[in-house]
Amino acid sequence: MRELAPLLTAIVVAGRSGTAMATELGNMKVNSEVLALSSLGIDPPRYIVLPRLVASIVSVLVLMIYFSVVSDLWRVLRGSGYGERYLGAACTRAFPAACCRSISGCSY
Amino acid sequence: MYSGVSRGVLPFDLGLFLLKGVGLGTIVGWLCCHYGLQVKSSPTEVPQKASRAVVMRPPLWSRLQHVRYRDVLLGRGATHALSRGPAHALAPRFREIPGGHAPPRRIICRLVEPDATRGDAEGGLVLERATFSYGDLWVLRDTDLARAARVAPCWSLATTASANPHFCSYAPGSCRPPRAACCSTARAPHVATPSDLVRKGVRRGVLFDSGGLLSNLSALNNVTLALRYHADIFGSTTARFERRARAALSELRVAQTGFFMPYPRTSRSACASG
Repeated sequence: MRELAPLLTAIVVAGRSGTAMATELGNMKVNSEVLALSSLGIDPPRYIVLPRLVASIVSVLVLMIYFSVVSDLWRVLRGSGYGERYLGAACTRAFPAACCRSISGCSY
Repeated sequence: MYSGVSRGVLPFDLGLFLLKGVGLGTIVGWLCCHYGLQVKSSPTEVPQKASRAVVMRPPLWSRLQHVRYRDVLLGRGATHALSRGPAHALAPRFREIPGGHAPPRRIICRLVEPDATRGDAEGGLVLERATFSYGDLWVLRDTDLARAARVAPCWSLATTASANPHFCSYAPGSCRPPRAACCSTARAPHVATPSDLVRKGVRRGVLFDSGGLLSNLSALNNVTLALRYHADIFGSTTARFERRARAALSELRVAQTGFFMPYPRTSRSACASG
């Protein structure tokens, strides 16, 4: 919660939504849409950047909380012994099978 | 378990948690917007800037103190060029047209000094007649802008040389012409409040080639966008704005819900009844 949640959430949001934002704004700039807004008397930073900034702040905050809740739930499951059983099963059967599939390049 | 969590997490940690969320959210959103708006004219720059927005973060921090963000956000080049007059604003863009030939253009304008007695609190360039085309596609052909503006705000359709549908607007429909003329203020708008001049009733930026459609908005929303944005000036209702925009689009025979306009090979223009 203190360190991992903010960092990982920011990386995921930057990778997924950040590229989308940068691409969309870049395309708007290429198509002169930003200039068109400015020429119509519409403030581009207020109309384009501010909503994305607010959305980014809100989404990072919510995802951080979500990350913390899920990680705490996982901690509870581990405490009840489910985690060890799940991990044990995964390590003995699923993990080697997944490795084989990834090497052979097929799903089945 | 929860008692353990409550013991482990102090109010200070909670505050730090929220602070980190707000800080990182601001950094992510701001840097991505910054790099996205750094794209200039080529579509090939878009993936470069997008990847730089995500990957190349550390070098940016060393440049932060030297970048004039407001200029980047506002597209300083174009705004600056516009401040020197319409001819300067249009000239660089002609060179982007494939074929290398500059289309015929002629803009007749006169300089108006600020005169409070005539109600001209803002001086500037008043455009009277204009001729403009993309190759053989005429957008304006010796059009009397003053007369057109006296009737109503006008909209003109055209395609650009790159085949992008553009919705060229002159005397943008954002406000009624106060002096029956399209006026460029001959000075750059303030970067923090670029719409102030429009709010004062000044035509800023008569567009011939850079009035692009917002690609993620329908035709109707593109037309009503400026009206809605400046709704507090007009004191009118959204329904009236929509009626006005629908009338303009129907006159141009453009589908109101379409995202792509069916452009003919001849220019069309129409007046949105005010």
